[in-house]
Amino acid sequence: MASSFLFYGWWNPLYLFLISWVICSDFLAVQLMDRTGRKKLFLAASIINNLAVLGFFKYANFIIENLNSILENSGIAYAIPHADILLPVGISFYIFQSMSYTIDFYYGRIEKENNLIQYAAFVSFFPQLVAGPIERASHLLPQMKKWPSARIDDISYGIFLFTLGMFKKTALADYFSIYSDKIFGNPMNYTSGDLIAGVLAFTWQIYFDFSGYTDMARGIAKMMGIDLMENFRLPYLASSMGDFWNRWHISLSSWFRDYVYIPLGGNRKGFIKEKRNILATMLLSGLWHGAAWNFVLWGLVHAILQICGKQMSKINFMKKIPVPFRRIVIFILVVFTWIFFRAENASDAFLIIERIFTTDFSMPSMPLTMAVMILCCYLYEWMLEYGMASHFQKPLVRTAAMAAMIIYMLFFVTYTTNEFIYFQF
Amino acid sequence: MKLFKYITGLFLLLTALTIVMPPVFSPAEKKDFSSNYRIPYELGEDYYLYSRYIETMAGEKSVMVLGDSVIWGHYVQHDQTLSARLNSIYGKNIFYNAGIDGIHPAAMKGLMEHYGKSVKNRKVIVGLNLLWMSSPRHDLTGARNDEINHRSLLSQFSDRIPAYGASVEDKVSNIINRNITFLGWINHIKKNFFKNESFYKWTLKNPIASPAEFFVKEKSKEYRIPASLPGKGIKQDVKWVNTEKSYQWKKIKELISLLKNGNNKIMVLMTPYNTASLTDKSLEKYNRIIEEIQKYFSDNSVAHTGPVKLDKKFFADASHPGAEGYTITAEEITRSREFTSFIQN
Repeated sequence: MASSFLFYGWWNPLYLFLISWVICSDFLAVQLMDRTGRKKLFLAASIINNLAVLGFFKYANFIIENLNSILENSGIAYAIPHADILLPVGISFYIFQSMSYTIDFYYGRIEKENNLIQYAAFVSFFPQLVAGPIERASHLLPQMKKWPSARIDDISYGIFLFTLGMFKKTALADYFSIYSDKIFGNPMNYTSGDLIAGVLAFTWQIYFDFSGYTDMARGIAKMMGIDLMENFRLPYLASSMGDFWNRWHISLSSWFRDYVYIPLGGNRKGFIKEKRNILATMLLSGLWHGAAWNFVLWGLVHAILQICGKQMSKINFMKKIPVPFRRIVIFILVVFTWIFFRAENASDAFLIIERIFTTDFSMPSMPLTMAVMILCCYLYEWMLEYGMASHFQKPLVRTAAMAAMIIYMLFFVTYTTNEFIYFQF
Repeated sequence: MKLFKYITGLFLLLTALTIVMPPVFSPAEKKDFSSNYRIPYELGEDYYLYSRYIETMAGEKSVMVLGDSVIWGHYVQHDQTLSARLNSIYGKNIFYNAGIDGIHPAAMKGLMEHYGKSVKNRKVIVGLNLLWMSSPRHDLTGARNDEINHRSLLSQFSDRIPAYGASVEDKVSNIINRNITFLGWINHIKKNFFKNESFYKWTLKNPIASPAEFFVKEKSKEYRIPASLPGKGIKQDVKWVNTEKSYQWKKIKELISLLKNGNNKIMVLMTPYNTASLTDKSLEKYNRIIEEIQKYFSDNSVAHTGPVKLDKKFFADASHPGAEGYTITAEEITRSREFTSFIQN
């Protein structure tokens, strides 16, 4: 716990007050649930407290901005001043992790934790504190109770995962970002060819950025003998939008499934309510990513695609479409949704879409090397999905891959890397 | 268990390579350091090359001329620098240009400390340019400045440098980089054998080029002398930093002591300054600082000479002489008793 606090306080010591508050309040809420038997009351208090903290630090200015535009449109000459709030790194991750503990206790899925230090170690576990995976108490807390003991196999696999994650981030994500940043930074300057290539570059950038971080986090944890959950399972090979969410940021999508979608009724309460639940879950998921309308739109587009996909899957003809073809269609749709995620704002997102369809297609200025790398990554994912890359899992091949990655990073990676995208959430 | 064995093997192999590669590679890479060589402008931060250069040039009869861009020769070609002029006066190549463009005393001290371990039992001329005390900004005692040259050579933690505001991570990374020769060697390979820029950015500039082209070594470019900055005839009120407060002066003293500890024979050469551009008040302070510095050297038995007084027409800017300026400076200093005694002994 001490090292986790030191790690987090390194960013800004003030963050420690906030995380301590979240830890103590949720720990206390469960203690009170258990002692008083008034589970609902203290669960509600815990949720309100967590959402209030998250709302204040993450969404206050978003709410103010929207209220101000309402006031302006109503002709009221008053603007609420913006709050000068520092957004603590990883706040959305640890608040959700802590909330899962109180909710799981409420439903009787886990035992109460009596040791505050161990609970604090669970919420603040440094490898995954700032960008996940969002762990469940039932999985991570029992591991925290034991003295860290890593086996030789854990250490070697942890080293491999860490190297792989670092390679994904520095050699791939940071490279793709050079091009995607250029395109998204000024979409008006580009026509459809470059815009499509820019979105494609971002598609792989965000995947390698985030899954790279997850691999590094899992690698460090593994070296300490702690297992963190898998967060990505070849997401760009999904065969439906629902499948995509079972493969992308698994810890978050399963969180929303377990704590929002299912409690709302899931798919059990009829056609309309199922669609409503999907919509609500996806909108909240979008909003979780950032306090801006483009994230809400991103969630909305995903919800619409998921609902349409579900309906279409009931048509007999759709079932006859070969799975590989479906994977490609879903990949294209996912690429399209990233426009909303990456655009500077909602109007930029629409501008990019408009320009993709209305401007002349010219040869994109994407470097050939980058295009080949993207193609290789995609083909490699296909091979993994269809079990054609099992020899890559062999220890000797893994070691050789590690050597190649280290040498590549030493010679070709620039030392000034970009911050991980998901740190801002 | 198998993976562990392989990874252990890999780390042992990589460790061995980090130790073996730089010394093995060094003789294989032929470099011509003769005929008034100086470290190319674009390789000013290739400290691996610098340490190889000064190690190669070590010799009982050679004289190392250490300094900043004045010694390096910012406004002249390599055969017009001070060391080149001295060689031509002496009729043989005994002076070698160990200057680096843009370096300042604090970085120079770091350069010798970390990359100048071979500088022992030599004759060293240390160029001292008072420009580095001409304002708190130059002296590194002013406000935070993110454009400090050769920042990785500065004291990272031991000194409090007001203008140097690097993060702890950057400072630690600088310390690691200058202590692991292998990393310096990698930097050298990148700068000398690749296109001396990021591979990523290069592909962006050359989108359809084959990546193989990135590894094609470019011929060294002829140094393009920048245009002179003769000034507008307005006298400058320079905010000189007093010797007792100056960080750069402190580092010069440390540099001399470091070189002396290596049993080197030192001579400080105070390089010319365009005093014609100073207001009377600034000139008075400049002279006072020169006197204080000279007194310090005399009191501490440090051989010194200069500054040579040059007419303003021989300057390209405030402190850099042009080609003729170097010729006059070289002639003047070779006439001084201190210099001849330093060279002859």
